[in-house]
Amino acid sequence: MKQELASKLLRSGEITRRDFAAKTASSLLGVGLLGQSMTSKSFAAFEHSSKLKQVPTAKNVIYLYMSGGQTHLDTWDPKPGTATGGPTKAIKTSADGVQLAENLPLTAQQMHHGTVIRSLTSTQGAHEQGNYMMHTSYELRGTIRHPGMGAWLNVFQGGGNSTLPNYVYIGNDSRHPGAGFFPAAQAPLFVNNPEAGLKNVKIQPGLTEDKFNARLKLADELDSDFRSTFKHRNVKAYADMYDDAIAMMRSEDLKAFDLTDEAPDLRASYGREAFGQGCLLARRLVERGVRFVEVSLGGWDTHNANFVAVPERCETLDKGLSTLLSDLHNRGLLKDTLVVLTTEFGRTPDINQNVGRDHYPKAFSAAMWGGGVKGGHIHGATDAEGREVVADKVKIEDMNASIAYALGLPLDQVIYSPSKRPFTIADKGQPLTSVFA
Amino acid sequence: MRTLALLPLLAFAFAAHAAPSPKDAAQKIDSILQADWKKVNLQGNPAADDNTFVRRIYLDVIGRIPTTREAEAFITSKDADKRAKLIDKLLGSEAYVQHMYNYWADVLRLTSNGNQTGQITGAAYMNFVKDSLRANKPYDQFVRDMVAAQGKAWENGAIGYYMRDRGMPLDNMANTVRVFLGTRIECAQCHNHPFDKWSQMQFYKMAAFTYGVETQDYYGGTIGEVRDLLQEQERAAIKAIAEPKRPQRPNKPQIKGKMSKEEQQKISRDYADAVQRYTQEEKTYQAALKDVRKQQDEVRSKIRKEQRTFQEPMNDIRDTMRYTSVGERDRKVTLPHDYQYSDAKPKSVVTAGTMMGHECVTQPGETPLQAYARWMTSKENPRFTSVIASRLWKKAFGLALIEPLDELMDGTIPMIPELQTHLEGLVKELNYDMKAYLRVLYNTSAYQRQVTREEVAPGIAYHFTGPLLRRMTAEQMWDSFVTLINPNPDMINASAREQMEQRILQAKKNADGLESLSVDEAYRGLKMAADIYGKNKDRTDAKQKLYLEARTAQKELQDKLDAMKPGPEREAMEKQVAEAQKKVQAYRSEVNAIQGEGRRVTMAEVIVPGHKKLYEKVAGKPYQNVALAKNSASGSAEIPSMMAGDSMMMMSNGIRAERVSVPGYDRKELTPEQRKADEAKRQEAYKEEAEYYGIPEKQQRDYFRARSEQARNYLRAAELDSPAPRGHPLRDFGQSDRETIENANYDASVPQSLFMMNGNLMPNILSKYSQLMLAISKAQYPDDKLEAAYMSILARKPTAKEKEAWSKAQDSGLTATEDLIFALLNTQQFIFIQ
Repeated sequence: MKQELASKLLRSGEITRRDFAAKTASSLLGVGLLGQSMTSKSFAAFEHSSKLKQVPTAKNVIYLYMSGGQTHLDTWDPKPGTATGGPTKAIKTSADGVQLAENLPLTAQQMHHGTVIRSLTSTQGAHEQGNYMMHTSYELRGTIRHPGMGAWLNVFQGGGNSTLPNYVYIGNDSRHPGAGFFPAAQAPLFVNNPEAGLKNVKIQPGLTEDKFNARLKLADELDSDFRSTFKHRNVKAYADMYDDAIAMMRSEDLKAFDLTDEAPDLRASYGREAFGQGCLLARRLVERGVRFVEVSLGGWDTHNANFVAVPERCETLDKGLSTLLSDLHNRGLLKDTLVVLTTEFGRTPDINQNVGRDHYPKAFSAAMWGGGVKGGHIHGATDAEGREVVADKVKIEDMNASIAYALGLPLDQVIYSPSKRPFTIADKGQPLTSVFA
Repeated sequence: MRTLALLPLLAFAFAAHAAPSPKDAAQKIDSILQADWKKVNLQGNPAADDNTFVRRIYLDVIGRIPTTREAEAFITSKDADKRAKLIDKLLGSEAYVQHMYNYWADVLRLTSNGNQTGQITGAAYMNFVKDSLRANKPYDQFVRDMVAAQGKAWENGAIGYYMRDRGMPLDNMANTVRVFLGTRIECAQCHNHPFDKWSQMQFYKMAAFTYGVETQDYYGGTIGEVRDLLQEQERAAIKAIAEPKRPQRPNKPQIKGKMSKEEQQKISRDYADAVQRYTQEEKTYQAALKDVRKQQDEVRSKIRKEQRTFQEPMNDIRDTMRYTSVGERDRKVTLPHDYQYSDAKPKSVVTAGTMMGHECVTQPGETPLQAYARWMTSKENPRFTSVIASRLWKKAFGLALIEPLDELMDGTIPMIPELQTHLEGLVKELNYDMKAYLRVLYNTSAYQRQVTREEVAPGIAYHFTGPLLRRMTAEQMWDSFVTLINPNPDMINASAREQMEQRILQAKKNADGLESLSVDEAYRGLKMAADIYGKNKDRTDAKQKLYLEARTAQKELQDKLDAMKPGPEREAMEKQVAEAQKKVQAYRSEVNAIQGEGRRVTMAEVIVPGHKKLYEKVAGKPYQNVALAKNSASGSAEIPSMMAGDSMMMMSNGIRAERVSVPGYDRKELTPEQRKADEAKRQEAYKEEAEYYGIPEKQQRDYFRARSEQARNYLRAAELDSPAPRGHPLRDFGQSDRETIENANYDASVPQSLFMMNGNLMPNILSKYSQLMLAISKAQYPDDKLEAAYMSILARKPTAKEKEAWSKAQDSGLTATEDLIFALLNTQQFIFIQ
């Protein structure tokens, strides 16, 4: 039904937001009741959006966000032996001709599965703005909230076959655009602690299942007059939501959150930190049909003592990421799952007074694995000191267009916000078709 | 010209009428509605009974359900005028302030804790909105205060209005026009508005009014002077290297006809010689100059390198009072580089001009920003009045006469045009007194009718035969939970408020302290910190090397260990690994210590001396360290009170510094007597409750303890940070994230039902001393207990059918009152306002 809705939404200029929201009322996380209409009007502004489409190469995305601005020079784009490279050395990887910084020895063994992008460039040098841009392709504005990629995916393609929400965010960063201007139902489910599972899915201790059911039956009876008097959509939606909530409490899919289910060895090799366990949870969710999972790892804002802080951060990243890739591969999931790693900006080639690196949006890196992406590939390059992009410049919009392209999302499809402003996925970004196999 | 002529007449017209009594004004509205109903052949909904009314009016005016006591007191009252009296009482309460604050926080996207607005200005802005509501500041004044806001956070919390959109002056303008003039112009920021008449030029002309508002970082006078001093040092050092004197180019002689040929030749020769000499001199000069420039460059880069270390302590200082100041400077807005219309060239400067209504003329004694604020809030600016008339009407009835109320166009027709015109007139007549206007609306018989049963679809004209059924806002939900738990839900948690106050005062103390220092004093302190920072690189480099070596060594040992079989050798290796780990940790903490040192010195040598200097200025006597003074046993009461325990204060990033109390700059410490009196007042309130609920004497201590805990843990939404953190039930129930205007949502969602069924709310509501359980315990017989539960949760008695359902449920095993409460709280009627 969601598919049908999306196509109706795209086809017709008449569909209203209320209609839109009502149709998604049965989606898991809520119903929208926004009394705005979406009207269609063509805009010259969209002449430059990409018409490129392909058969999707990926069903799912696991999006790893390095919050704080990851140094490119000490991870994906090492410059050993130069002043800007600092003491960080480079190592060989499982892919010929691809070298990474020594801080990522385990991930190096997985590089035959993926592509490093060394030519990202952004105009946003502050955390909030950079983070927002990376997640939405649009500049942070005070008058509108743009959606994250998972919300676009929900609107265009809907969920997998899961009673779980289709878009999950695992982490503690409070800056996430969520559903943007789409109804709240399209927002990610936020999981702060991957090991704690979902909140409030178990009945109160001491309460038996029978009693719980009897109480709900009583509630239903006590409310019958009210519901028959007020046949409002939102009243009905609340009744439906109880059904959904109970379905969720009883769902087999909830087992995704029970990480103790996994072999202790595998669990340990993901790393004990929240990030590693988040990667494990991401795999378990994707296995059960959740299509977009973001896992965030903070602590990359290394203004001070960069070469002390980065190896530590990398250790956490390396364990989680490398195990995620090999685990997905071993289960045959990597071919359908695009693993993406991004950050808001890179860090200055010049090492500062505090032996740290400052914000540097001009040139930085990202990486992608699986999901139809070329293995052992490098896209773009910076100069010898890591200051300037010298080949195949990639804008943030292009990066996001590539994710959407892998998922088979229409890059040229205009969607109107409730304030009747037109937007497209990835704001006219051009997908990097050459990174796909 | 014509408008101008009309002005005095209008003013006279307003002055001539005294504000009508709320009853008369309410009747007038009712009569307009009745005339409208007659026209369209409709009747008003039946009158709401006292039960429905009491629940609705509590939720609408103070944002929570009534307690059992409050509901009963109203329902049993025989006073013929009890509804009007209750409306007055609620409008006069602090809870009204809290509830309306929640409303405005959503409209204004108010963030009290960080983000764009920053912690200090965020707290001050929150206080500004609450104080304005508490004082019942007229709406036009409230808006003027924000739109013309200038100054420091601790002087004027209204600067939060601009700080909220820091660095986004164009978006701020679009938001202003939408929130206060009900008009959407954000599209016109990039191109002419596709659905409305606004041009991009008009947008920029409006933006020009506020484009000069400066919301960037704080640079106090002293720090600014230090910066000047540093620049002066650089200039002086460069000037000290004398530049060579430039040779003078010889003037070409004028040859006049009167001269003899010889004379003429001599002049020409002399001139040729002079030119040759000059060329030689110029060459020498250029060479010397090049040399001097090189020297100057060397000196400059040397000085700049030294001065760069000053940047660090200056940043430390700025960090303590970031985003606390809004000023105005002369900054012109220019059209974008891709401006596509023929009325102006891209990138040309735009002068301010109003988009509607009359011109904005700056009068003597006012700033252009004040003039602009006056224009915006003028009674002659019709959309300004229209929006607030609609907003508050919608608050009472659930729908405005114009929907959406903030998308006005020239052709907009209100659902009942006469009524809209009348309401706008009433708002003006009441001089934008929001409480007075609300009082009129709540006293109408239209408001006091039952809600309309049918859902009103958007785009369908509604004739306001009664209010609409609404879901509670997230804040109304939360505050109603608080009410079910806390017998005195409006009791203020003073310590939470004081924390906010302290945050603001601390910044003020830092700023005023800095200003008390002379440039030399500030420079001296900064220099000490800068020197530390200057050595940081070498020290960090050295430690970092050791750290990396230790880490490699530890990894190698770890690898060895992993390959070993169990046995004594392995145990020995385990010890070695542990040792190696300790070493890594030790270097790590040394690196951390180095990193924190510069900041510590900035605090100790600049901020703290500033506080001391400020103390001397304020107190008019030298500052003495009390810890020392106490040792000398002076014991004078004049010495600022400072306990050894709190002699350090927490600065940013976990750095601690000496605490200097400055009169007027610290939250007033309560005297033991005041503390006692406060506590006694609280105890008295608790005691009164205990007696009302019949709690036996010997259980009362227990009760008081439980009550204090409730008061701490269940604060009303308005006392929490805005927005509440993600994962808080307020957010699950749809509290706005404060990112866009009126972003609260009223949708059902799974986390909500999960919270209601399985969350930690239920155990708290079911605890012995919750307001709900107290009311139920007070009732003696099972029937009374059932009634008490209904009264507490739904402000009414159960119907016969409901009684029957409950007795049937009891037969099937649901015997406890808890079962009934669980069921009632999980009904939809609980969360809807009838």
